[in-house]
Amino acid sequence: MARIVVGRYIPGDSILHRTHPAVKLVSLMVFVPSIFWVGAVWLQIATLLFILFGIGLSGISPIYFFRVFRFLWFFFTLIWVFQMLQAEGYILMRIGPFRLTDLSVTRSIVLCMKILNGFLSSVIFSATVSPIQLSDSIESLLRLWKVKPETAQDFSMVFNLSLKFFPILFDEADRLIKAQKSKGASLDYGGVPSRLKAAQRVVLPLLFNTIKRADDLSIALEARGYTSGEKRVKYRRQRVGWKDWCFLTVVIGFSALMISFSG
Amino acid sequence: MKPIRSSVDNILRKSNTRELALTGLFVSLTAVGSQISIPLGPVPWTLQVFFVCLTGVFLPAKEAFFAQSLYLLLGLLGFPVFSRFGSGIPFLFGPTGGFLLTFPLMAFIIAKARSLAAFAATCCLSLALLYLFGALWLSFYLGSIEKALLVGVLPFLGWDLLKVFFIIRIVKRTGRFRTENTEPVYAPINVRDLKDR
Repeated sequence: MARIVVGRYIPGDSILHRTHPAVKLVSLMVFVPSIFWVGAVWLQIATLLFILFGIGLSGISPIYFFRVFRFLWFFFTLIWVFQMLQAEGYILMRIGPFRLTDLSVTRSIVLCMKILNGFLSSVIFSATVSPIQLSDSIESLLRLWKVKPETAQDFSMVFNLSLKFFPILFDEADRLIKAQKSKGASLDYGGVPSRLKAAQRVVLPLLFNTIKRADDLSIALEARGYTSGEKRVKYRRQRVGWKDWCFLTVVIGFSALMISFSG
Repeated sequence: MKPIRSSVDNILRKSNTRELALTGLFVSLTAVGSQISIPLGPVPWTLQVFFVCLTGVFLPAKEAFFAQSLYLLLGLLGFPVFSRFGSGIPFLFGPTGGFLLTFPLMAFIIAKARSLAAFAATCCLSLALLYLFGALWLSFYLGSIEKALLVGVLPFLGWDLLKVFFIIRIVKRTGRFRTENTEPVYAPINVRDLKDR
């Protein structure tokens, strides 16, 4: 699990960290669609500057954000190749079936910028909100939408469980794969039937252990008094203060400005 | 040990804490499956779709739909649950996003199956849907549906028939559909069935 760099909570005490998590979630939900709405290159560059300002406020080292490019290269190449297959506009260059036109260049740049901006803003969000805060804020938003409190609670419980058990199950799968490898049944070589057989020997124990774990987990939950469909109260509460309202106003104002400029 | 266990089971069956736990674990299982890749065919095959199908097998329809939507939500919020520990906007709204967005629907359809034969049918149906939506989404990026089919569907069709066969074989091994019980109670899994003979 050490390889995971993106999407991790980075503890800190910056303005962005202190903002109410539900406010951050709402502003993300407004900000990201507005990024995808805007079509002009200069507006996307302005958005990128706004996001860089946010990165500065978050107090997280910019090196962390550079690592995200590891994923983005794949999508950027895909977008460029796909756009070059579409021949519209004035042709600048021709390589086999690929035609580089002026239209495809601008389109590719805008699409790449959109994806970069959207991605960076969600990375800032997940770096400044801890999983518990996140599930609590989703729960409170669901309650605002008049979802029954019991359902909202169950939702946040499932959310937390899935996040907690992802690393655990991953390590288990890793162990199973290594165990099979040491016995000579590898997923990486051999004919198709032997590979599928090796996969089966990893998947079945993993599945079985997961279901057993779910059983144990539900017993543990019940033993500690958790029953779904019962009302519960929160131990920790964070109120929405004037700083949070300011944050929300700035983000929503910026998004509105972008949309109004793009007409 | 067994009588205690079964009495606990009876208590749990009244509440849905077990469904809750199972839903959460299947979300993380799908995320784990996205990281395990088997080098088969033109593109390494991850177990992502496989676990999406299994979500439908072991959860009731509503919960299965919810589990897969939550999986997408986790990825959208930036948790590294997609393939190669990826996450976020590019996976969901990039060229290949259509495939991901079909997952909740797939799990929902498969959860309606009550027998192994029905499972095989729903599995094929949901994979067809996966390709349909995936290609439609891709055609938005490629400009035409023919190109999308040529790039995103045709190279994988033959291999995927093999994968469907694999999935059905695994589901048969788990013994989920062996009982005549049609209500969505989890059929107890016999450890003996899981051993490779």
